[in-house]
Amino acid sequence: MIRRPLAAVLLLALLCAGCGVRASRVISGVSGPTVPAIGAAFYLVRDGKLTMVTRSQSSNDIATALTLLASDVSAEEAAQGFTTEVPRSAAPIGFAMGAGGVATVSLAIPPTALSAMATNQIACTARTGVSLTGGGVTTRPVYCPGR
Amino acid sequence: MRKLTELLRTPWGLRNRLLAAFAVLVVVTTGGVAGAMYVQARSVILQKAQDTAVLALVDRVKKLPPIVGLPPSQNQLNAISSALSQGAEHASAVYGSLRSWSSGDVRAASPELRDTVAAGSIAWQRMASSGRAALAIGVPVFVDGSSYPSGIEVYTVHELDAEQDAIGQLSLLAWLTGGAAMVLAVGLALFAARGVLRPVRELGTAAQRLGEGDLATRLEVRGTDELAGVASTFNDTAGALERHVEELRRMESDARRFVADVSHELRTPLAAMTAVADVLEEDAAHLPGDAGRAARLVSQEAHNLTRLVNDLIEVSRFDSGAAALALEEIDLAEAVRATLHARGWDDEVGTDLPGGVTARLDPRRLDVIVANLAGNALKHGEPPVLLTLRAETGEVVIEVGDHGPGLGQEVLPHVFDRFYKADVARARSEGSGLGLAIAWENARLHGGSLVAGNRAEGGALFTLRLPDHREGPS
Repeated sequence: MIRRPLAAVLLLALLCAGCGVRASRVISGVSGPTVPAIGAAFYLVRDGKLTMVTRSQSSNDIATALTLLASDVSAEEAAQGFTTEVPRSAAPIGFAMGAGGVATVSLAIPPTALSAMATNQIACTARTGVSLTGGGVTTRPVYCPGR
Repeated sequence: MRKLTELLRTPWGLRNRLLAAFAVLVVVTTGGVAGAMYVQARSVILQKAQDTAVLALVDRVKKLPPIVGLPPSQNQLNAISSALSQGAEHASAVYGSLRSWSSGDVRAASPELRDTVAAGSIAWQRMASSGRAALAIGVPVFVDGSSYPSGIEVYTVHELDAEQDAIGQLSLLAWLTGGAAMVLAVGLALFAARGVLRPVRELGTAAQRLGEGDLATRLEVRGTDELAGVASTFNDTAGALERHVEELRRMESDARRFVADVSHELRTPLAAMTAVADVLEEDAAHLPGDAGRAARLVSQEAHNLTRLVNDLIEVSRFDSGAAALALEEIDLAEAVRATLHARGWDDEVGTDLPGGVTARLDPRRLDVIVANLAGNALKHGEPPVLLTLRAETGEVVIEVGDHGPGLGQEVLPHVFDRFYKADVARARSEGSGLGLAIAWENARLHGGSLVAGNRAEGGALFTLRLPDHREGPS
């Protein structure tokens, strides 16, 4: 006698609760769209992570971008905490597109002297697999670490 | 109101059970169908709206002018934000802790959404607050050819008012459909219940009338369903019952008539026998030994037989309804005294007879009642026997009590039965066995009552109540 109306009320409450538009969890889709950038784009380190930086004054090719890695960061970039781990002694840096999607990057110092972060800076800035060579040492192709 | 009390009185009667069954059916069916369709339609509408909004934002991001410098300046973020804001659309651009000036959209985004976007995926989340729904969308911006997000994120909040309205209308439609179905179901249930309940109620009424003695009660047989079968069976049963009762009545009246006829037939020869027996008894003293005793015995039994036959004739008159009252204005005390005197009981019966108690009664029948009561008390009770008279409003009361052992509980209900003998061992008594029955019939004929009981201090007590018939000017 008592249980039946209770069940009916519960059912009705359930029906009403299911009505209307309710909040959802976060739904994720594909990765974001790309937009062109003006000038050279290369990767510096901020807070221990690779972060992209562009300089509109420099030309938009990879060789230029690689050269910028071994130069000082600008005052503005430094103010925002950007650094580079590629030493100035690595310059000049050469870039030659090779076969099989692997480019060769020539350094003034042996690639073994570079930190892992510096190697990643070079590989990500080159936007392809690279073999580092310098001081008679040539590495196997390295790639920008995927996210 | 009558229906309401009926509903409350039988909460699980047939009507309510039918109503409940139909209602449950409608709730389950309509709820299931409408609910499933509603949920499906809602999800399609929302999905379409969300996909459209996300794709539109991504399209607009793709058409942004090239990024001039990373990390971006405040002006650049403002430029992106305003490039994405056209008409009703609005968007915020974020880079790390730097935000475009119009930053309402990013403030609305949840931390989970921010994290997902920061990891490089387009993400969106539906938000609902105070009855309004909106979609927060976040898009990370990549630079051409780079697998790392540039760090610039774009957020927008897309209102879902139109979709909410459409879904609200769907829901309203679903409720209306359900309500209409419920009304229809209740109507159908009531209709079905009436079709069943009306014949049942008629059957109940007819059975009650039959029980009250109206044996001619019949039901109208409608249709050919089970209820019609019940009605037809009821009619057959009532018919058979009526025939049997008629038969019994006829047999009983035959038996009574037979007794009356026999009594009448016996009266004439008995009169002759009594006369002869009287002559014999007068000469009994002169007859030798056994012949004298036999003559006295014959005379005694002839008188007993005459009394029995007279009583039988009297009872037959009551049974055939031929007994009639001959009312006269009489003084009760005088009438009772005369009765006792005529029987020679003046000394044996103590009396309390106040004068001036008068009533319109049949004197002959009063005599019969009083004589039977007093005679019964003298014969079966112990002396002293006391007879009292008193007047009450509208009736006169005569009580006859004795000081014997009284009447047993098993005797009381049968005291006024014909030929009932309280003491089986004393089966052979001088009484006809009809005296008290005749007294009772006489009391009833007057519209009064005769009740047998016991006095608190022991002894039987018969109480006679007769209306004084004084209503009216006579």
